Amino acid sequence: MSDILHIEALEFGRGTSLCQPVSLSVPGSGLIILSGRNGTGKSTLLKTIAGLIPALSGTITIKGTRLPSNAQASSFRTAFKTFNKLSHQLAYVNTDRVKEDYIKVQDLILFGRFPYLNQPHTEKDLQLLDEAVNLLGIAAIRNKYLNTISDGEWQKANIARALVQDTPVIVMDEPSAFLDYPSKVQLFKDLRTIADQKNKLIIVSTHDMDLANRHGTAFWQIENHQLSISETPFDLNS
Amino acid sequence: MQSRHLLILLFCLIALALTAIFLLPFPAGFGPWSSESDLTIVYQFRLPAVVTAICCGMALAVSGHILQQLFKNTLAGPYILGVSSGASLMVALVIISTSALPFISRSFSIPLAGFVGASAILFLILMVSARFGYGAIILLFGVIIGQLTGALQNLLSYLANPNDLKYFTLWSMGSFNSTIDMDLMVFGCTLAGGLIWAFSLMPSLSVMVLGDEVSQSLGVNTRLVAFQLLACTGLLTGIATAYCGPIAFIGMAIPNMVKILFKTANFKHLLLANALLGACMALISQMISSVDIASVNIPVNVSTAIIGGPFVIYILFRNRN
Repeated sequence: MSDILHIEALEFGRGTSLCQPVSLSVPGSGLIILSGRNGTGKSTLLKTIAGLIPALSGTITIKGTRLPSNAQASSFRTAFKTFNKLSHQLAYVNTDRVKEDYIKVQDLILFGRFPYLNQPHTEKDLQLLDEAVNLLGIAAIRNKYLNTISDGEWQKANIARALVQDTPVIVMDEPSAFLDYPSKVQLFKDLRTIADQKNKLIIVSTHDMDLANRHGTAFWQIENHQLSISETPFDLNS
Repeated sequence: MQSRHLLILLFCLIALALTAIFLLPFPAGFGPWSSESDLTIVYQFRLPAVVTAICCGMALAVSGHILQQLFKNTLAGPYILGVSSGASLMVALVIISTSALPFISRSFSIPLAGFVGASAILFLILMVSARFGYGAIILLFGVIIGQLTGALQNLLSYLANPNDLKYFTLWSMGSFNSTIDMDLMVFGCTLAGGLIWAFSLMPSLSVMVLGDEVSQSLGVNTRLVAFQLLACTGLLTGIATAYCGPIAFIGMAIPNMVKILFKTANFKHLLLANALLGACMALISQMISSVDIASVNIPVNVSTAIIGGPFVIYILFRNRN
C-alpha cells in the first residue's frame, strides 16, 4: 500500500457509469497526461479521484487515505472528514476563472494554505508562497488584483495555489484550455519541472496532445468506454 | 498592510462614536443637561434608539455581506431572500388580529410575529437549499417568496380597517424608537451570538470565492458552511426586522462600500468593518429621521433610501464598466 495512488475496480459517472471498471496503481511521482474525446468522462474521472464526485463502485486510495463510498459521502459528517483529510493529500485545479476586485494574486495563492488553518500565516506559509511564485515566474504580479490579470496569469496563480497546498498529488482539469500557444508550451514545461523537482504526482487532462506528449511521463486515454494506460504517448493518428 | 486595516477600523470606530455622541443629546441641545426632562429624554428615548440603531445596522450589514458572498451577487441582501417580507406578513396578520382581539399586547406580539415570520421563511429556504444547493436558484426562490407574501400582505391591507392600515404602514417604514429595556437585552444578546457565529465561518466563506469544487478540495464542507451561514443570516435579519421593521438598503449598500474601502481577502476584517459601517449608516439615518422638517419626521426607511439608493446605483453602473 505504499502506492501514491491506488484504484481498484472503479466505476465512475454521474448516475450511470461512463467507463469499464478501472484498476491501476501509480507507485510514485510523475506527470500523467489524460486524453480522450469530449464527453468521454475525463473531467468526471478527475473529479472522482479528487473526491468531488463519489465513485459508483470500487475504491480509490490516495497515500493510504481511502475515499468514501457513494452511501457514506452523502452524510455531512463523513463529507467533512473526507474533505479535511483529502485536502492534505490532493490539490485540485480547474479552469473556472474568478474575477474579484478585492483579492490579490498572493491572497489567492495563500488560500492554498487553508487546510493547515494558520491565521495569521506562518513563516512556512510565506516561504511556500515565495517558492511557488518564483517557480512559476509570477513574482511581478503577486500584488495585482484578480480582475486585472490575464487568463494565462490566472492559470499560473491557480497552479501556484495548488502548489502551496503542499500535497503529494495534484489533479488538473484542462489547465491549458484558454491559453495562447507560448503559454501552453511554458505550462507543460513548468508542470514537468514541478513533478520532478517537488516529487509530486500531477494528473492533467488536455487536448493539446503534441505538447503534452513531449513532457508527460505516463499516458492515460479514455476511448470506447475503456481507459488504456501506456508508458509512451498514444499515436495521434490511430 | 495589516496596520492599514486597523487604521481604517479605528476610523470607523471613531466615526461611530462621534455619530452616537452627536445623536444622543440632539433634542436637548449639547450639555450640561440641567433639567430632569433633558435627562429623561436622553436616557428613556435617545439612548435606547441609538443602541437599537447600532444593533440593527450591524445585523443587516453583516447579513448583506454574507449573502452577497454566498450567492456571488453584489446586489443581494437580506431583502432578496424574502426574510423581511415573511416578517412583514406575520406582523400584518398580528395587527389585524389584535384589533379584533384587543387583549393581546401589540408591543409584545409584533416583535414575536416578526421573528416567527422571518424564521418560517428561513426554514423554507433551508429546506430548499438542502435539496437544490444554494446557487442563484435560492436567490430566485427568495424573490418569488417575497412576491407571494407581498401579494398576501396586499390582500390583508385591502381588508384592514383604516387604523390598522396606518399602523402597519408605519411599522413597514421602519423605526429605531420602539424598543424598551428588555427588548434591548434580547436584541443585543442575539446580535452578539449571531456575529460570533458569522465570524467563525468567515475563513471558510472567503475560500468559497473559488467555487464549490475547489473549496471542497481545500477541505471546506461547502454545504454545511452554506447551511450555517443561511441560518445565521436568518437569525440576524429576523431579530432586526422584528424590532425595527423591514429596513432597506443598509444590507445592500454597506457590504459594497466596505469592499471598495478595504480591498482585502481577509473576511474577518471585512465582517468587522461591515458591522461598524452598518451601525454608522443606521445612526446617520436615525439622525436624519430625528430632524424636524416642517414639523414632520422622515421615516427611517426613507432616510436609508436617501443615503443608500444613489450609492447602490453607482455600484450597479460601476460593475457594468
